[in-house]
Parts: sequence; C-alpha cells; structure tokens
Amino acid sequence: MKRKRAITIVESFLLALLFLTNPILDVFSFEAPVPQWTYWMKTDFTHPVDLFASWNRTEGFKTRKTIFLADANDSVGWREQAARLYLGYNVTDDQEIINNLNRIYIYKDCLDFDLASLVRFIYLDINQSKMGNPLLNASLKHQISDAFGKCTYWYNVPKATNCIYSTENHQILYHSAELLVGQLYPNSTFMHSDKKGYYHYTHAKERIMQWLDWRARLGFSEWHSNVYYNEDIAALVNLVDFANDTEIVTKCAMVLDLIAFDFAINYFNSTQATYAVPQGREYDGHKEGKSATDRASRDSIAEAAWLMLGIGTHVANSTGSMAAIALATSDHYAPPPILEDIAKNASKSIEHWERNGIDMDEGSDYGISYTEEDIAYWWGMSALFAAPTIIETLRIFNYYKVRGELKGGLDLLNTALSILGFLRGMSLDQYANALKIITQGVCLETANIYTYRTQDYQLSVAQDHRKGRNSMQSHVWQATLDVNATVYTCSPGEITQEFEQRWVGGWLPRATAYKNVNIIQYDRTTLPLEAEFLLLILRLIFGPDAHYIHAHFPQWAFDEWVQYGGWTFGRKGDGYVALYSYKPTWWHANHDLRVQGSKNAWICELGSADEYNDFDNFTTLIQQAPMRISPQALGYNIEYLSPSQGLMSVSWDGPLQVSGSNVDLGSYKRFDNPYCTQNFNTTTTIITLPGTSQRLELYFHNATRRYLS
Amino acid sequence: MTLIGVLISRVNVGIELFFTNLIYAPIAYVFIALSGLTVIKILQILQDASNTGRLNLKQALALFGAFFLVGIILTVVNVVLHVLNVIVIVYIIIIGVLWVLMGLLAYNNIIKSELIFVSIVSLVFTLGIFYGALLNTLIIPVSIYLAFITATFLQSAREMIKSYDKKDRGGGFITINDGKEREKILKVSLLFQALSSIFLVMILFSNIAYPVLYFFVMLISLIFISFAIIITLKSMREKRDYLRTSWLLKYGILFELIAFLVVGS
Repeated sequence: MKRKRAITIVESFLLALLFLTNPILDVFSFEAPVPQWTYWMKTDFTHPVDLFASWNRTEGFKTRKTIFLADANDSVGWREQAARLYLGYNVTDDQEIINNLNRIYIYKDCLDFDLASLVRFIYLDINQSKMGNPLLNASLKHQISDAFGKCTYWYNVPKATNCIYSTENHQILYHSAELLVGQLYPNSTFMHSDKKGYYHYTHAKERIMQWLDWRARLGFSEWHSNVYYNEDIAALVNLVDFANDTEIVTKCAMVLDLIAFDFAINYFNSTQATYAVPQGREYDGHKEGKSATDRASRDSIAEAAWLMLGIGTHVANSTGSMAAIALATSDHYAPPPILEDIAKNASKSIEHWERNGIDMDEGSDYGISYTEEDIAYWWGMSALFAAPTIIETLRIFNYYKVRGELKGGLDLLNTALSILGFLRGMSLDQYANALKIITQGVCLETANIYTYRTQDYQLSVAQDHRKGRNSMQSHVWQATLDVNATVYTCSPGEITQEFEQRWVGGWLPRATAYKNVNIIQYDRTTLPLEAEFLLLILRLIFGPDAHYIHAHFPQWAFDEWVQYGGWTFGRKGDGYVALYSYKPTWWHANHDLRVQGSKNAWICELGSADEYNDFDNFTTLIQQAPMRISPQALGYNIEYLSPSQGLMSVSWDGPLQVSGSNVDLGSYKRFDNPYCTQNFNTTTTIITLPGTSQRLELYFHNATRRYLS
Repeated sequence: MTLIGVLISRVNVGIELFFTNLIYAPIAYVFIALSGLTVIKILQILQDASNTGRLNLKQALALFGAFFLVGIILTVVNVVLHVLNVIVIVYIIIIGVLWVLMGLLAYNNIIKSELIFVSIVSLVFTLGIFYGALLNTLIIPVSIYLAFITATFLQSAREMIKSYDKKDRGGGFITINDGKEREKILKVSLLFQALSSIFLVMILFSNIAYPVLYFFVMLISLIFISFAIIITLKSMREKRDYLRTSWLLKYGILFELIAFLVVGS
C-alpha cells in the first residue's frame, strides 16, 4: 500500500515536471523569438462604406452590445481584450497576448483562430490611435507584426506547417487574415511567401470573393454549424470592419445577414433558446446531456445569436466567443431590424424548408470544377478523399509539399488505396468510389432541412440525408421540447469512436419527417472486405458493446417519462415526445437508450397539451397506433398510423407517403418559409416580414444591400 | 462454398443481414451436406453389408432424416427471424429430394453408383454456394453460376481420381475392374478438369471485384490443374499416378476457393 502510494506520488511529480517544462504546453511564460521581420505598417484607413446610411441599429442591439462589452471588459480572457481596446482601455496583460503568438510561431493548427483576434486588436488600436489614444505598447505591436510577417496564410506557401486550411471556416479565417494583414503591410515582403503585402491582399480578395459567392448561391457546407458559425462570423465581421473594399464589406455584411436569418428561423425559443436543428458539423459536448449537473454545453453561437437578435439570454462570464467579441466591438455591422422582428415572430410557430450545399457529382451543374481553381469548395465539404477529388487533392499536397496534420496519414492512405485499387483493377479514384460510403460519407453534401415548430416543440430533420454513409460530425435530426429535453438518435461509427464522438456523426440513417412525425431507419450496405475487416478491428478495440445505435433521451430533463412496450414517452411542460424502437432497448445510462447492432427503425412523434389535452391521452393514443415494420435486405418497410397525421409509409428507398401522398424530401429551395422564398443557386435574397413594410434585399451579383421599412 | 455464396451476392444487402447470413448459412448448410453424405453411407450399406461399420441401415436412415431435419429447421428459423425469402426453404427441400432421387437411382442401378457417389460428394460441397446467395438475394450474380460449375467439375474430377487411388491402396468405392471402364472414367475426369479450367477463366470476365488479384490466384490454380491434366493423360497411357494427380487437384481446388473468395471480397 505504501509502495503503491509512493509510486503514485512519483508519477504525479514526474507528470507535473513534464507539464511545466514542456514547451508546447508552456503557455504561462512563452518567450517569443526576437522580432526579425522588417516592415512598414499602413495606418491611414478610411472605411469605404457606411452600412448604416439609411437605417439604424435596433435599440435592443445597442443595449445588448453595451451589456456584453461591460462583461467582456471585466474578463481576463485574452480574446476579450478586444473589448477593452474598443472601449479605450489598454489590454490588461501584454504577456497573455504574446503567449498566444506561440501557435503562430510554431505553425500549429488553428492558428487562424488566433490571427482573427490579433488582427482585430491591431485595427482597433489603429482606430484608437486616430482618435489620439494609442493603446497597445509598441513592443507588443512589433511582436504581433513579426508573427504576422512569419505566418503562412495558404497551402501554396513553401513552409512546412501543421495547419489545416481546407475546411470552410478555416478558409474564410485564413483569407480574411491574409487580406487584412496584407492591407496593413502592403509594401513589406512576407518572410515565407517572399511576396509583398499587396500580393497577399489580392490573393486573399480573390479567394474571399469566391467563398462569398459560394455562400450566397449554395449556402453553407458546414450547415447550421453551432461551432463553426462562430469562426465564420468573427472572420466576416473583421472584413466588414476593416477591409478597404466596398464590395467585400457589403458582401460580408450580406452573408452575416444570412447567418442571422438562419438563427431567426431556426432557434427554438422556449424557456431557454436552443439552436435545435440538424448540423453539418457538431461535437458531442454540445449535444449530450448526461444529468442535471452535467448538461450539454451551451451552443458556441449562443452569445452571438443573443447579440445579433436578442435570442436567448446572455451569460455574464461567457464572453470568450470570437463571434460575439467581434460583433460587440464592431462599428460597422449590425443585423437589419427585420431580422430581430422575424426572430420574435417565428418563435411560436413555423414550418420551413431550406437547402444547403450540393452533392459531389453536381459540380458541373453549379459551375464548380474539380481542379485546383475550385478545389477549395470541395475541401470545404470535407471532400478530400472522395472519388472526384482525391487525385487532385494528392497532386496539390505533393506539389506544394503541404504538410498539415493529414499529410502523414494521407501518404499512408494514398499508398494503401493505390495498392488495393491496383489489385481490384481500379484506379485510385475508382477505388475511392468503391469505398464511397466512407470516402464520400464524410463529405458535407446536400442537406435538405425541414423544420416544424409549435410553441411547445420543434422537430428539425435533414431529410433523407446520405443514408447508410459514415459521417464524421453530422447531426441529422432532433426533436426538442426545451434546451435540455432533446431527443435524437445516432449510430456511432467505428471511425467516429476513434475520435470519441458517440452522439454525432457515425452511420447516417434515412430520416424522413412530416410535420411532427419522423421515421428513422438505420442500415448500410457492406464495404469491400478489407474495409470491413479494418472496421471489425476498430470495433474489437472499442469492445463488443461498441456496436450499437442509441437515442439521446435524457430522463432527467423531462417533467415525467414512461415506457410502454417499444415506446418511450416524455413530457416537458406542455410538450410531449414519443420514441419507438423496433428492436428491444436498454438504458445504458439515464440519458442513453440503446439497441444492439447496426440496423434499427425508430419512430418519433411529438405532441402537446393543445393537441392531446394531457400526457396520458397522448401516451394511450400513440401506444394504440397500429404499425407494421418488416425488415428488408436493406432497411425496412414501415407503415405507421399516426394519431395526428394518418397513415405514413416509407421504405429504405422511395418516397415517404402520408395518407397516400408523397412528401417532398428534396431538393428544396434555398429558403422556403413565410419570410423568404428563394430558389437554390440564385444570388438574390428578399426577406420580408408579413404584416409590415419591412424588407431586406440582398443582391449579391452587384453587392447591393438594402433595408426598407 | 456457402460463405462464398454469401460474400459474392452481398451487393445491396444490409450489413446486419450480411453478417447474420455469414454465421447462419454454414451452420445450417453443414447439416444438409451431412445428410447428403449419409445417402452415400446408406448406399454402401445396401451394396455390401460388411461396409456397415458401426451403423446399420435403420440408423443410417435415421441419421439422414435427423441431419436434414436440423438443416431445414435452422433454415426456417433464419428465414422467419430475418424475414428472408421462402425460396431458400424451397431450395433446401429440392436438395433433399435430389439426395433421395440420387439414392434411388443408384439403388436401382439405373445409374452406376460410383457416379452417384462422385456426384453427391461434389454437389454436397458446391450446392452450398446457391444456398448462401439465396439468403441474400434472388438475383444471383453470373459469377456464382460460373463458380458452381467450375467447382462441381473440379471436385468431381478429383473424386474420380481419388477413389481410384484409394482402390489401388485397397480402399475406396470404385469397383470397376475392367480396364476399359477405368479408361472411360479417367477420360471423364480429364474432361471435367479441362472444363473447370475454362469456367475458372470465364469468371474473370464476369464483372468481379479484384480482377487483378483474381487473375494471379486463378493462375496458380490453373497451374496445378494443368499438371494434373498432364499426369492424368500419362496415367491413361503408361504409369498410374493417381496419388499425385489427386494431390495436384486438391491444391487446384484450394486456390480455386481462394480465387472465389477474392471474387466475393
């Protein structure tokens, strides 16, 4: 016992020693290199366009901004220093900011997140200097400039880094930083590109215009991403505030308006607002609510949504959001008033359809090639290894000697796929196609999203979305009664379990919804044997109990819950939810309802006191609802006589029928709701609020943004 | 072969059904196969009482019935539990009828029993491929038909040679002592070996997975079969070397099975 304790003490000591001396982990006293970069900083900027020429920010927005700034000012967080600069105070700790240059100096992934904040610091200081109040110490500015000059902003710079440039949010973060930094040092030569700032400005501008065009026409590939909208907003607000180009400023403001519109129509605003929609990229931490004391963490964009539109509430010590800080310290962007009014108007009820993204094989339909010129679009969809792009991706990575966190893995993957493809008599891209349910499974292809909301519940589903494919982070459907009482299902994939994701991603179902009823089927076809063998190995590593499908049904979050047969019922306030499982279930934890295997059918129906009078009546009628579920070679044939919707029938393929009529499962318009009807792949967005004269017109093709009231 | 049938026909079959069939199919089919082999035992008992060993006729008949019953019950359970097509049950019944029919044909000397024995032994092995495939789908890929034909020919060819080898050593069930009859059967074996080679190559052109890997494995099998053909020819003219031929065909079958596995992967 004594020996054991001694060992534990020694181990702890060694760990502590390791932690304290590890230079990578040592953020407490990072010693920045001596600045080497010779530069000249431009400071005489004039904002090119007044976005508030014809209308004002709402009073609500101004109030929320003041509240947020006050809380951020009190915070010791390093990103919140922007609030101090904005309010006319110097940063509290220069060293804290210098410590965060570490990531840039060692070219570590996600350095672009820090670039966005640092760029904002410098420009805010320039604005203060113009008013005769320079704030940042010269040595700190010098150090930051040095980091800027040594940074790499895109994969085509000949410098080995560990940066991932490819995702949609990384792209706009890097491009915005490159443009704004290039703008700051136009005549200075950057150390790794050996190009002047003006080159970087021009290079970035081209990329930004392309990125904005894709968003305007095709929506977001990282659709509804609670996590990555945070980064997108920060980058876009930086450009609105500091770019010296009218077109960029205006178009970025327009994309921000679209994000705000997204919040307005998708937030479920009951006791506490929650972004209760399917998401292209999400993480377990935001979705899994284990108990009353261990809840799902707050949406990353919660503060931004509150600031923009007054949705939800502000949390005083939650001021670290990049997006919220950017919005609060912006003089040039606020959402037009109509969007705040829509958020209030839509909060009680709405039924709407929207589309984001395109499929891998639709490039030619939308004018997007698979060559380097447009490859960023596909990379933004996580389509690095899909059949149409794998060869070009590898060519680019090899030509530019891109390192990144994927490079080692990419080499191994390239070798393995090439050999196996050869044995199959297939080229690399053909073999990638044979592994489509994985190589294309991770791609963020077309999402046709249907949302049905009443005052008591919301059901939101990505209809018939890439069934049977293996996704990394997609969250495909959700039934919501309040911020904690959320119900959804997931089939954790062997690959996603490798990344410790058990509630998002994995093997995607066929989810098909109509109003308050969602029918979900899990199944998939087989892969080539070598891939199945690899998955089997992974499954063995994670243990035999790792092969399951589960439903998030947090007992603790409901006012009452009960199970009858295959049905699990929950009530929260006046909202009711019923979840049926074809296979027998068991409670792995009090929020985790599981079935064994990789095939199952679920039915989810929502109801309310208005519709059923009481919970007992709801449970009785649902239990008695006739249904017939027959397993097929793939999926099921399902017939369900819903008490509220009538006879619903669906299979693995083919339509969802309700009372004999086909339900539209896509392809949807870009927006189809009471406030906006816009065809997909068009560049004009007109948003109105029925019953008022308010109108927001966004014309991307000529960068015109007009708010009329 | 049952596993191979499940593997090759798994396109558009769900993963769970696929793994279920991978486990169920060989377990169920092994009893059907045993029932077929029991028919041979029954015929041996009927032909020569001294062959009974530990079994008498009644026991052998009971064993046949038991094996077949277990096989069919397992099949029915699988079909019902997983809502599969009843054609699988029909198929099993057809196999059962086939065993009985072949037994009767041999018993009544309508067909030489040696041929029946050879046929049953090879069909017991190769009919499993359809069983495995039918568990997955009614649309049987062409490669499965070709694999069945290939395997049946090669297996039959080897059984003929093998039983001559046993006979020479004092065992086996080939009773033909007439040299001309022997020549005839050797010629049939030779023909079957050649036909199996042709169908083995034809599989390459039937839209299979891994054609390159299949080609190399197929080549190895063909080498063994070719040598077996040469030695069979020699056996017809001069020296009998059934042992080596049987050995070569055994490895030919082994690599043929590996090749089929490649087809299904």
